[in-house]
Amino acid sequence: MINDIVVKVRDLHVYFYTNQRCNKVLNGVSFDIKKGKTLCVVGESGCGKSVTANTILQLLPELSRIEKGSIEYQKDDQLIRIDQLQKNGKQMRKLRGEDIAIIFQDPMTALNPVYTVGHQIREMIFEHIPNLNKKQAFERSVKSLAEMGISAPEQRDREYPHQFSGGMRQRAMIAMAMSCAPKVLIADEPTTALDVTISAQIFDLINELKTQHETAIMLITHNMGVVAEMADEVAVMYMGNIVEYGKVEDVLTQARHPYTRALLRSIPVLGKGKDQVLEPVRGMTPDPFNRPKGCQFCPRCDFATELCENKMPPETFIDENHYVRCFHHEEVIKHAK
Amino acid sequence: MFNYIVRKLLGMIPMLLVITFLIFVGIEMMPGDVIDFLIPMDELARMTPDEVNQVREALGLNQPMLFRYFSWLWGIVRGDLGYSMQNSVAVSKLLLDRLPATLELSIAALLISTFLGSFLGVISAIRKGKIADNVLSMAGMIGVAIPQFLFGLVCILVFGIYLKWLPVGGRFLPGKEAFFERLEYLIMPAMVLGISMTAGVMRYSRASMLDSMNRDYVKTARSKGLSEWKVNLFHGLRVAYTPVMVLIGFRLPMLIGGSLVIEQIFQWPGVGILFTDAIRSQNTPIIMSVGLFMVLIVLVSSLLVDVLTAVLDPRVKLS
Repeated sequence: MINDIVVKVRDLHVYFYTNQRCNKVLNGVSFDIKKGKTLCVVGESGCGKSVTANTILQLLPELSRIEKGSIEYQKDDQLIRIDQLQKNGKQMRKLRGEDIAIIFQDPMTALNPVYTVGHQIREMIFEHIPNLNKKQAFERSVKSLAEMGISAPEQRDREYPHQFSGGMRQRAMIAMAMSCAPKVLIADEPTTALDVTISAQIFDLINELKTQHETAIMLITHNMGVVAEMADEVAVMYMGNIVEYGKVEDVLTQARHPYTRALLRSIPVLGKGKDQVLEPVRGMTPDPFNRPKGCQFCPRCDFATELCENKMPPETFIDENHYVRCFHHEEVIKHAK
Repeated sequence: MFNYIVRKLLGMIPMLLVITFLIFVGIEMMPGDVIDFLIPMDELARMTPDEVNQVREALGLNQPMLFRYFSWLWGIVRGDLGYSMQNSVAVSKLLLDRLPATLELSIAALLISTFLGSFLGVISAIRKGKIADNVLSMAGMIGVAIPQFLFGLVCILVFGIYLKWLPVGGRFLPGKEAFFERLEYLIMPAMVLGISMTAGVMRYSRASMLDSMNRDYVKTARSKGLSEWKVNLFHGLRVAYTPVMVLIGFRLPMLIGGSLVIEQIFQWPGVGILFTDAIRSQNTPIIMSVGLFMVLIVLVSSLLVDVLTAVLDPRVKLS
């Protein structure tokens, strides 16, 4: 079980520095990405989901830094401390694409418009398998396109991104990400820019990768429906912290953090009709430069006490795999029943 | 592509007609009389108005304007650029004498500004916010602000007169006309013309490069494990370069226009001096020929820009 952990993130702190101000984007984030499992990270815009994903590949903007914590990557028998590698150094670059691949939110802009799709896939292949000749590389890129369900892959390989539809481009992105058979695939809101039917196809594709190649998947989303559908484990993020983390069935049915509960209450349920009462999460997300002193959710929370205002709750383990950052989690679950 | 180019070239003909006609009308409207420049002053003073009219008639200057325009045009169609009565030589011979000098200067300046400008712009973008970028941005600002003629004069003063490194003007010494012997004459005017254009290219390529470097595909490229120089060059610059090429393309005609000033300052025997002299003495055939040449360059370079954009950017289709 322990050997299944591919990426292990512990107490990760990432700060951004802009205009002489410091934005503490991540404040102690811990989670594991496991072989053949999907970890879903949910949370509202600006809570640090994408930053977490980018930090694993050290793709952060220039004025930012990993302040504290560790990211460990299990490469066969070797343990690599990603946080200690040089940002664009040789070792880090070797991990990118070959071991850990990422796909981005908007496939419209994530592919370079002036190169053919095939060229962009082969760029990755040549970078990590340099001794291939042109023909082998071409076969490989065509194969990876075909595996992602792109018809006429040989012709598509020679086409430019603008000749692809949105869904096709995201497939091409995944084909590119998977072309070197990485152990970890990070998908940063891969379907936000696509329509619903297409996104279902993309999710099917990701699930296939999980079962067939045993790829460890980190899926970032803000859609609770996707979580229920896709996840083995869930991390709920709020303002730079994971407020609740655990197996999907535990988190969705036994949610112990007021924020998780609020999120679940705000989703419309199909079939309940138009009379159902939706409760949006009360209040506004705080200004990241002017954060609450204690628990970040405290100003919007029904259970908040003086303790919450002054102190950040620690990670409290309910069982081995389920933790929550809330002083009053027992009260929360009692209240729900 | 071929069809497009042919179509565009054919489309230039009416434009050329209209523009050359407008230039012709402009020359007609200039104050003064050509006769004053054709007959020496003291001789003219002794002539009666009747005698002057006889000369006018003999030279065909009393014909209606439209007639003279079309006879010029008919000459162009036959490949005859006309005859300069002031200097008693064929315009084609004058142009053949002068054009190589101007082209030499312009091409040298274009090469300097293109390579130096895009190189410095890219460096500046990659090192954004660092010392190199700040120094270059400052230099670029100064470069854009200083007028060419002032820059040229200062250079002559410093490098030509005080330091005596380079000749102050001219194109070559009589008898020493091989390329390497006249290279030292070319350096200063080409640098002055080139550097004053470099600033613009640099600022433009910096902005374009910065824009491109912030795009998602650059991040994708980085996430593939490509090295930084590959990311910047093959993904950042490759896309950023299209608008820079467009800028340089549209500047091609400015090189001829811009070199007028530089040619005057450095006594460079190019088309520029010929052209300004021709305007002063109302020398219609020369003004018309040089004008035609400039218009042609403008039109051809805009066609060139279209074709280049289509070649560089697969999203652009010529139609």
